[in-house]
Amino acid sequence: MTDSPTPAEPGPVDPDAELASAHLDGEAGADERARVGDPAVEAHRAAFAEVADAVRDVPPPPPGLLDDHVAAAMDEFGGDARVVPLGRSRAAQPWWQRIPLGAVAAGLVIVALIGAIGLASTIEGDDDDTATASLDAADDSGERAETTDGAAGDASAGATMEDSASADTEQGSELEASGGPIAYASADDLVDDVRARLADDPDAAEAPTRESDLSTTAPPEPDGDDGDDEGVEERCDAVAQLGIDPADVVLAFPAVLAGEAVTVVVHDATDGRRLTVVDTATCTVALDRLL
Amino acid sequence: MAAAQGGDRAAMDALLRRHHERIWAVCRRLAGNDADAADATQEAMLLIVRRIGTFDGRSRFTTWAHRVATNACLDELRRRKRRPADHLPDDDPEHGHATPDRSEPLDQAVSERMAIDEALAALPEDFRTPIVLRDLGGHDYAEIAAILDIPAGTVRSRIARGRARLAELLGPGNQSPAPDRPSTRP
Repeated sequence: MTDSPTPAEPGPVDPDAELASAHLDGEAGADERARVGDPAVEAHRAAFAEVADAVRDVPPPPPGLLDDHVAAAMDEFGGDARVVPLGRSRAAQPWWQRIPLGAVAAGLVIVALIGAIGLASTIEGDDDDTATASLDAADDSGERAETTDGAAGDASAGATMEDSASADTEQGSELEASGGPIAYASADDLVDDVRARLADDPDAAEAPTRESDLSTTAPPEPDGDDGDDEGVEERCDAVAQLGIDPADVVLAFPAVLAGEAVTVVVHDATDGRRLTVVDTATCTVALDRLL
Repeated sequence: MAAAQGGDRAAMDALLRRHHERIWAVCRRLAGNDADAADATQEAMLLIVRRIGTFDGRSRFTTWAHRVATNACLDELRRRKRRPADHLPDDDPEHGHATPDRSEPLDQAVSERMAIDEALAALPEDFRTPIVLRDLGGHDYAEIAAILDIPAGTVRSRIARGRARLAELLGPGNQSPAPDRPSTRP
């Protein structure tokens, strides 16, 4: 019932004091209440009631504190599809720094891959050396475009292209068609699109994203490991960052939201299906809400 | 609550405003002064917003919010205690005295508040926190046990022992300066 005291703690509990305290709080057992009328218990109870009143007599918060605190907290809130500030003021950046370099680079890689594959298929093996060179180039570019885990291991050149170009999910067809991550002007647009995708493909929840999809959640980075990393955003494993069980992931794809490279993850949580958007540059949550 | 979790800003705003005063009160009593309490309350509010998605409805929202707030307050206060230069000296003549000068006439209510601040500060955190959660948070022992992750029997004995010590400290002739004040900013 009681814990043993340490040198810094108050002294051992007096049974009468403990009963008085518990009775004051409405926590005394039925068998204990018979002793409540005891003068010793009553003396403790009266003293403790005064102490409790003193504890409750808290000075009010300074004027304006409520509004300040709520305003600051609401800045962190992603509700109504409001995007949380990502830690840097885009308005303060010159226009050339607002261009989503990752998306542009990914688009260029896709165009190059399409050209290489088209050339290879045109030659159709008539010139083995040329075709091999083209496919090798496609493979090489595709591998460099992958974000983390070598999804191309079992893929042909075409499959590799698909993996690197799409957002690693079957739902990424728009990405393939556009040659880069889907760009959304606002979080509302993103939310609407995700809802539409889920409505169009109600089986999405029953079709878990492939393992490679979950770990290649950042937009394709054509620079890869070639060392030209200046200005290139670091990769971010959004699913791992969010602590999401991969089995709960319904949909995951890279996108550009208001000019920022992000990873969109739809997953089942205890409170329902959630949409979480991770800024891939900072690997921080930019938006998190129930769908 | 569900609306706030679903991303409704108005609902979230209302939720924060509804709980602010009590969270302030808890942090104020745990901190012992307005400045630290303000910072701790702000941190608690931010954490509630950030973690609102993790509330699963298995407990009352108030219990969950106070668990988040209490931990935020205690973390903030521990951080401050580790930063010796973060507060003003107790006897800084430019900024008043953390320890009230009993020779000066003070409003009785203010004097009593300072006395309870000192008395609470003299209690180890393990005893101060359950008392504050009981008397200000309004939680029953089972909820306090859940918030602090200790057995309910321990909550009961710590509240009783803490109150007994507070009664001693607040009794006549026993309003001595507190040795364990979290911070002494005026």
